[in-house]
Amino acid sequence: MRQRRIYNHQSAEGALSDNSILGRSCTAALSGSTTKVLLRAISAGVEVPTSPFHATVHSVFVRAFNFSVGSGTLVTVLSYEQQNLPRAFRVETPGGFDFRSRIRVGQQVVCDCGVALFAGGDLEIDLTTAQRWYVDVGALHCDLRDAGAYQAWLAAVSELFTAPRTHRLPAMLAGTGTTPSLERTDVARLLARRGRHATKALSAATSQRDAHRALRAASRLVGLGPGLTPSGDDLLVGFLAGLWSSAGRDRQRLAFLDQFGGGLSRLADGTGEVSRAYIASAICGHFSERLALLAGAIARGAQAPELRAVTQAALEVGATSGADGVLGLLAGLAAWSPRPDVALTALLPQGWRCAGL
Amino acid sequence: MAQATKVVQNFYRDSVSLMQLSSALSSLPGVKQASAVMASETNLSLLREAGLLSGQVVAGPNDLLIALEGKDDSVLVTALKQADTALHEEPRSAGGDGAPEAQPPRSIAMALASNPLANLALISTPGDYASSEAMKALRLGLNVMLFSDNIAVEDEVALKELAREKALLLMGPDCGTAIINGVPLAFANVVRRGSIGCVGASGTGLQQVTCLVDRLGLGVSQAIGTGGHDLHKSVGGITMLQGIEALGADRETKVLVLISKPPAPEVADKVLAAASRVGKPVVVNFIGADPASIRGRNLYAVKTLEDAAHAAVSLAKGRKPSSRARPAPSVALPRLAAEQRYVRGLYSGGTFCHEASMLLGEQLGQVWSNAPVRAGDSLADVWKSREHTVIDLGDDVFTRGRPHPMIDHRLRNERILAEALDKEVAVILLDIVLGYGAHADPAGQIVPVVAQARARAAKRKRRIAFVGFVCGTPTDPQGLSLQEDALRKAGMLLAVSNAEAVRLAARIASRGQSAKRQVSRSGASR
Repeated sequence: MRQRRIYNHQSAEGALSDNSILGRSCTAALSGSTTKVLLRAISAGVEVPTSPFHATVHSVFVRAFNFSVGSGTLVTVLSYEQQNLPRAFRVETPGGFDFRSRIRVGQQVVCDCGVALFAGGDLEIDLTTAQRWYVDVGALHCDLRDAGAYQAWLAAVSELFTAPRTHRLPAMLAGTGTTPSLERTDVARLLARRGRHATKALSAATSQRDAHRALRAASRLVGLGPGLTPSGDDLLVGFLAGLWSSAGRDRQRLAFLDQFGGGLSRLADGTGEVSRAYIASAICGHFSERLALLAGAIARGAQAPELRAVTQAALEVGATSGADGVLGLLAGLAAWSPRPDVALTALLPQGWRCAGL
Repeated sequence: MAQATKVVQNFYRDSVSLMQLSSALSSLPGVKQASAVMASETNLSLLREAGLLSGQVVAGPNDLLIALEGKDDSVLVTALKQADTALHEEPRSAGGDGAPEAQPPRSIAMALASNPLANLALISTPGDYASSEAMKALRLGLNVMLFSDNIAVEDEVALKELAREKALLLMGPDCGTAIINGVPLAFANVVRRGSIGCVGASGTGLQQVTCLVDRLGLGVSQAIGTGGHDLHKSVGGITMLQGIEALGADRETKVLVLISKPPAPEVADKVLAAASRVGKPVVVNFIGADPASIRGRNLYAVKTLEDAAHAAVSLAKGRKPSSRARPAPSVALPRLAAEQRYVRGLYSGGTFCHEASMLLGEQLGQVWSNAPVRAGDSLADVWKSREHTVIDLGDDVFTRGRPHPMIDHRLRNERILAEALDKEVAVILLDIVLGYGAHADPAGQIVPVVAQARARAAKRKRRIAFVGFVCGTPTDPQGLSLQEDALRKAGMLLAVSNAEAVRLAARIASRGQSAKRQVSRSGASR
């Protein structure tokens, strides 16, 4: 194997090392659309392939694209300003760069010596420069009996439900979408009701470590709602982040995660491939950078300013994905807490509880 | 009501686009409901229950489903056409006109690409990341100012050795001040350019000397910061030695000034040997070291930062530095109660605090501090002063979780008010630092607190002397005269330098009588 991997495993929060030296050639090649473009990878999630691969471009967006490897595993390439993901490379992109102008769906991708080449295209991505990114939420041992963690959790709940509307409140539970014109529709109201009931059932079943009932509730969430990654899926991913963060070494909890994860893996066939990839990572305990940072901040009882900042960062993902994920995380953290005052529904502002759901 | 659906197979759009599409379609005249969702089973069931979907739809979870309900078929046809257009829009540049959007660079390499003539990177990141960023910059051929601290000594050595190997300069870690080619970097002042080149391990030391040189009518060629650890034995003064060599070879530089706390003896030997070889006058201010221990044909040892500036200016003018002692400023001494006899120095600059501790100790006896010159003078409780006390409020214990006191005056203001309640306090001694990085209006922060402190003391029938100095220049963003005028109006007694302010404070505390010495042993010695 000639691959020149210089990954540097990081245990937490993605510290860089001097291995990720970016050469001048990267940026020299960034101007002009007719010339060959070489982008260099900054970071690589823990689940990206580390050996040569052949792939097919699955979907392309302005600041990201997905390619499908082998048996269908989706790997994402993100522009630098996006958050790290378990199955993603982040790459340096110049100002105004649009992946849609360089890559097309169905294009073949070959990565043989650490550089991804696109058949018939003018884009190359050097993956050897990437630093391994990995956060182990399973090591957080978040316990809401700890006063600091509890206060931090409360602060995050408050931020979720009281943040300005620009932070995109969770569409499902709150019965609101990102746009007023959608909030009043029958679909939105139904969505909110279904989501609310399913989430409550999921929380209740999880707190009793009843994986069968939890999976029944999860089946009502998989693929539910708007977005490329539907709200229900985002919530489930966040919920798993909360469970992994608080499972610690508790055998019963870990057994629940194993059983629930196995079932959810099958249920995830009912949603789109992109969403399925996130759920698959979550089942393995791997989550997006912003969710992981928020979980970490709550676990160590971060002070209000930091907590507010990391919560807002987590909320500002996608249209409703961030808010749905944060809601799931907070519900997941609460699910196994023996404190009676951490039930998510008890903390919802009155207006939300009386929204007719 | 009419209904219509459209399935787009294996079509992926980001969530924001899908929500915008749903919203845009819902807002069309005659459209009652619109939904653009992935066609998962749960979503199909949802749409059916909402009455937006009837009959069978051949679609899977990777397909996009647009479901519409509207007044009549023509409305729906229009809406579906609009949806089709939106979904198949050609990629546009983010700028909308074909031109790339200007975005701030996100890496050193990107910044260098946008400005290939750049030759220096200023790095200010948490310590965990700073070493690698500095290494990248050096490998890209850039000099580095490393503002970050908390970098392991072995990393510092490795970075400095690499810089030396590549004939680059690595200023730092923990380098807060530099002026390179006339450009103030980090906490630095706007000084005129001239013939005096400085190399310093102390940020505020560099600021004081460069500002005083400016006040004395000359200018600065370069001010190179080395970082606080450079002259430790483990680092060996690599940056200071490079700085001496660079300024020695620099045509613009006629006189060098070296500023540091006393280096490790073997490092001091190397530094002084290098300074002796440059063939230019070198003023050496190893704050706290015995000037007599610094010997060399072209070396001029001085005791204070003020002396360093005066000596450098004299030498640049071709004169021998004066060895005359500098007197305390002549001002009318305030009337104080008999028990008021102590000085409380509340400093934002660490080197100012160190210098004050040393000078006050010589004049008044024991001085307590959180950063004492003598180990035995360490305050047991840094939050509470005793007798003569000087505090470095920039110390980690005070800055944890809050900005440096040059930026955020709140902590010092609280301490001023606390000191004002102590009936034994005669003088509150302050440094006021201007320039880039510092607060936009330090006087505006201090004046109300001085008034409040005076009022508290007056209630107890006491007066407190406020003594200070402004480290700045007329061309600093805050404006030297504006700041000084505001402070004088508030009744502060202002000196030109830290050393002069200390002499004045000592004179007030001792009522002009009992200080061991009312003047510093100023001047340069050779």
